[in-house]
Amino acid sequence: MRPLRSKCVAALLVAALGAATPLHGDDTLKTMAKELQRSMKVLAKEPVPAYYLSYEITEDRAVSAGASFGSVTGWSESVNRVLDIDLRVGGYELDNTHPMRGGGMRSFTPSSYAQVPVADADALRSQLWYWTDKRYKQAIEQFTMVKTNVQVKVEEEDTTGDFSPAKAEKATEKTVPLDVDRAAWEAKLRKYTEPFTQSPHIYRSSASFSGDVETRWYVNSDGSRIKVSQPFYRLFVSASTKAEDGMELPRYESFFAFTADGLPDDATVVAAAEKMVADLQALREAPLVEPYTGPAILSGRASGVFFHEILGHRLEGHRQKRADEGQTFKKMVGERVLPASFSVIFDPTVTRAGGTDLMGTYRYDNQGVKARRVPVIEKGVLTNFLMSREPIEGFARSNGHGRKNVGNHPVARQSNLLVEVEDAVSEEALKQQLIELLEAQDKPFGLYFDDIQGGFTLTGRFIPNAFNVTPIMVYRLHRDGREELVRGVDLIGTPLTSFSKITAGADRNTVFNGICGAESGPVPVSAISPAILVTQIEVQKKDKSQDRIPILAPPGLGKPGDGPADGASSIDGAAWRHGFAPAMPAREARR
Amino acid sequence: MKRAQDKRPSPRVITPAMRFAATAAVVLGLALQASAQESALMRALGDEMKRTMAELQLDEAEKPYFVAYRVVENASTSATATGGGAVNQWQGQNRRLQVELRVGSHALDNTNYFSGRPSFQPPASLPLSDDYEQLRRRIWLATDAAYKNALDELAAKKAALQNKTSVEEVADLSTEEPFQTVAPQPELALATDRVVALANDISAAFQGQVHVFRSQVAVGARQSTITYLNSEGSSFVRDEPIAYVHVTASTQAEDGTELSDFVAAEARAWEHLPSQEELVARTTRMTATLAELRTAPALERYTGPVLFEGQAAAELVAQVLAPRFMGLRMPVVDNPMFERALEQVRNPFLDKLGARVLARSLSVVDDPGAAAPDGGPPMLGSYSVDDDGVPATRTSLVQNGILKTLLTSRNPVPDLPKSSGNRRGEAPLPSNLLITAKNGLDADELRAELLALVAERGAEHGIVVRRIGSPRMAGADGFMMMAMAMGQGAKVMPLTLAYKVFADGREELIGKAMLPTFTEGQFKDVIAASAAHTRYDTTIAPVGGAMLGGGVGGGSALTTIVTPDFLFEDVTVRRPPGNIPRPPVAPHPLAK
Repeated sequence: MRPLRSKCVAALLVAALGAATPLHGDDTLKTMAKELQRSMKVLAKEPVPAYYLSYEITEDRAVSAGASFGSVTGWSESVNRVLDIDLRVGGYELDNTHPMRGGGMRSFTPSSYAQVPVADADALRSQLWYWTDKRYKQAIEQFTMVKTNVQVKVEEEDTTGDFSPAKAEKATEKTVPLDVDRAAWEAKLRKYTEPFTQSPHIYRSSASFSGDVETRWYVNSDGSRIKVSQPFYRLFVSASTKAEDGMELPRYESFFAFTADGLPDDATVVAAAEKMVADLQALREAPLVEPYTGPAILSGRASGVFFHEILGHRLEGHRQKRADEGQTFKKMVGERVLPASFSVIFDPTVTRAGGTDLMGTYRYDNQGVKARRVPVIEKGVLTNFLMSREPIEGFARSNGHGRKNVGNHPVARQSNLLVEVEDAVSEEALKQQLIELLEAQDKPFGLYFDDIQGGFTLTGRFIPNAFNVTPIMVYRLHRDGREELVRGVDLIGTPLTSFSKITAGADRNTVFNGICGAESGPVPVSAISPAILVTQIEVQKKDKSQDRIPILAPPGLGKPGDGPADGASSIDGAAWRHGFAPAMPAREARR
Repeated sequence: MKRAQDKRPSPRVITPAMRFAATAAVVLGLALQASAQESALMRALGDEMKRTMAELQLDEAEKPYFVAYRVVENASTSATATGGGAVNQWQGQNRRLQVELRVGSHALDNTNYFSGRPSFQPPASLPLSDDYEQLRRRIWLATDAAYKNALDELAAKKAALQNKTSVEEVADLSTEEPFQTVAPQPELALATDRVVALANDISAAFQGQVHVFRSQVAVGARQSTITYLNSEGSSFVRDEPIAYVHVTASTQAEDGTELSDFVAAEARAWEHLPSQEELVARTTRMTATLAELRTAPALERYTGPVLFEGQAAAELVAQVLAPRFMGLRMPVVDNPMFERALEQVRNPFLDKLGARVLARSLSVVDDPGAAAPDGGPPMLGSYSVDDDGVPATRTSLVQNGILKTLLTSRNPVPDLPKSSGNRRGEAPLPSNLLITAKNGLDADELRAELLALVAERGAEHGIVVRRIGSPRMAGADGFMMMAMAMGQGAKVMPLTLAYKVFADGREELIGKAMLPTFTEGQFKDVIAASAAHTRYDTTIAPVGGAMLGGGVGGGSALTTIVTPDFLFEDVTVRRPPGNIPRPPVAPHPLAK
């Protein structure tokens, strides 16, 4: 079975259209609260009463533009408003959201997007009423099925309830204006993709910019009233070539900031694009690596994704509970899982690290719980899980990690992952340690994973519990210290074995900002980690395109045959639309 | 001549066009108008095509024998609103290239083969600016990919044919004369703030209408330009502006039955759309009708004479008859499961050329050049050249009830080796479908005829249908119809406005009902038709979608239908099957 790699197409249909829509806010929360209270009053009198209700309206305003080889290929501007309702019948112990076991309906039927207005109170109340009614009817149907399912299946291992109480929160932020000069950005994008026109071997290039402001209004029957407004500005530059053997060789650079001005200046981006051109040329000529096992260094970016995949996803609370999950760490609380010098913290309240804004930052999660710092591994010992409001054995309350994308039901998800190493060494010293390992293990070379594309992991029981980190720039590190660029391998492994091989970390952190895909949709996350030394890793051959390079030379250049690049199957599709950001982690394919 | 939906002519006060003209300074003016043939885009297409035809060849494999480039440039803006409040808005621009590359020969090439594996080439995104070199670069790569894909497909198709005996010898590409044209249209203003305001203003008509549970107003405009070039020397540049207003509303009857209706208007220019006041008036009439329908008694079952008037007659043509005129080719299939699925959607009219398919009094013409009757706005299905670069022609489909031909593209069907110039998107679709009846009756005569049929049966009443739901505006009913279309169920959307007609002329509204067994065969038994005609604008999509449409989705196209009212002797009408959903638990928040 081929694991689905959920790409980072943030479903954020967003937009910013001048001053088209007023900056309202207070009234929206008030209107939502009013209709929520009325609904609860009516639904409380029903034979199957509702015990909990929340409304969340997510407004996305976005501007995006894309360019390729020095020309603009498209742009869009949009505003989109979506309502999410969490309506629960039953009680905290057992409610309609209880996961179903064994075939049939698996937890939630995905709801159609409920699109709502916010500027007009009456129009909004009408929509809230309409969708609440729909959700209530779905909920009582689900609850009947849940009760039957619980009766006919064996007793569950984890008998904690389906929902937990949380403190009512109140917060109101001003709507952040979206500040984008699209024409100026189009000019920048043309400039950023210009270097790719210089190389006949680059057959695909793109630069895309998106600015969006996500404003959320949230009310629940606990009394929470929250309005938050969060801007995201992203720039994504990518290019790819093809080796003579057909292998696709991509390179990308992504930049993220909370303000448009926070993105790097032109000189920095153009230099990055020029380096990509040089890297791609080098990659085409780089030798292939055969499957190999031995010591390796993972750069800060690579180790960030490595921790996100093998640790982060396995610490998401609900995965300790679902009967079809691997539950790797469930019984390991209080045990050493990493070297004593390593600590791992999830902290959505940090906004910057190493001079970079962090994408996994937020003030309140999607269940109205205030964001907080959550140490999960302290001095190598597992101490905590990431919790939504769904309790698990030994962990009764949320720690502010109930997250989702619009249209999904929130589950425990990651935020900003921070790896801290106490006895960190310099990267040079780390390299020296690797060379010593080569001699001890009698290996001719080790591997250095520099830049990576993303990764994915499988946490289910049905299939091997493995992960895959997909590198772009990998070097052979020889005993004499020589570094040699290679291509053609993915880093693979299983979680516990891989963890037991980590021995040291470097003293400099790097940030990986990305979009993580899982059952509650794509959410923005960050991983902040130093380079690490692993005594043994395994690499497998990369999946490779069987398409040949283009038959004719590029138009206006040379004669057929000495041509570059491939036309392969897809030529850039709709990259301009929105949704870029490196495909960070992705977790999927659980069956 | 009457227009569906508004029987009473209403004065136009301020048209959306006037509003737009007033804000001309802020329009997103995009110079998409058809320009001279030698644009940088056309030059880039031409130069890369020359190189492709001369040089593109992989080792010993065949060279392409036909290449067509289709570039679609879109600039659009749209907005939705509900109850007077803005919901979404979008604007954007792109330019996409689709390469149709064929290897083999006209008789047998890489097309008309359905393997089930993905072979669709996504359109390539082109620079918006006329940058000759960058255009060439993208065209080159897209052509290379299309060529490799075509070789794969042809090999797979030949392999599949090895174990089959061909029963029909039909070419894969018809032979046509080269044709060149430039078909510009006046530029359409794309002013986002105006589109948003229009959506909000029309949507405000729902304020206070607590009996309407959900409503949506979508307003949009799109300026498309299609640039086409093929290796046989055909080329065209065609503008396709479109502005639209779509209003949908749904509710539940007092017993819970789901009810919905719509108001739709499309035009090639803002000034051809009905005025805002007229659109609001139509919307208000619709909500009033929904209110009446909520308490209208259900009709359990009825079989007998039914008169379809105005919009209902036109929807009947659109949903039942129009799909039968599409000459959709059955592809070679190498999988028995797909073969059976295709057989299900095969057009029965493919086997009826020369046979009687309608009442002898009826004739049908497809006319892409039809003039708007009574000086009305231009017909929406009009065009001068189709998507294969074949000039548009008038096609007489049915004469006095006898099927003469079908609409075709360059993908021929048995007995019809030539294109009728009807490729629209991926499939042969109608342009303007004109239905005429000999000996048409006036309204009173037609009604008298209905009542005479009722009396003859000794029945208590007859039925007149004035509105039928449209698949394109369907909402929840659309899913129901899709499900039913897969089986042997109804082929017509539920009736949204129908009345019992009694001998004394009295009319009584009936609750939601449907035509469970209506098929095209019933058009052979049309008893009478009206002398007056209804003009109706809609969109039509190919039956069979991706598989028969020849590409993904197959696309849909704007069509204008002009049709008389129809009186049938024997039609079954009944309430929709299945259980009725429960009415809302809480009352509407604004209900008194």
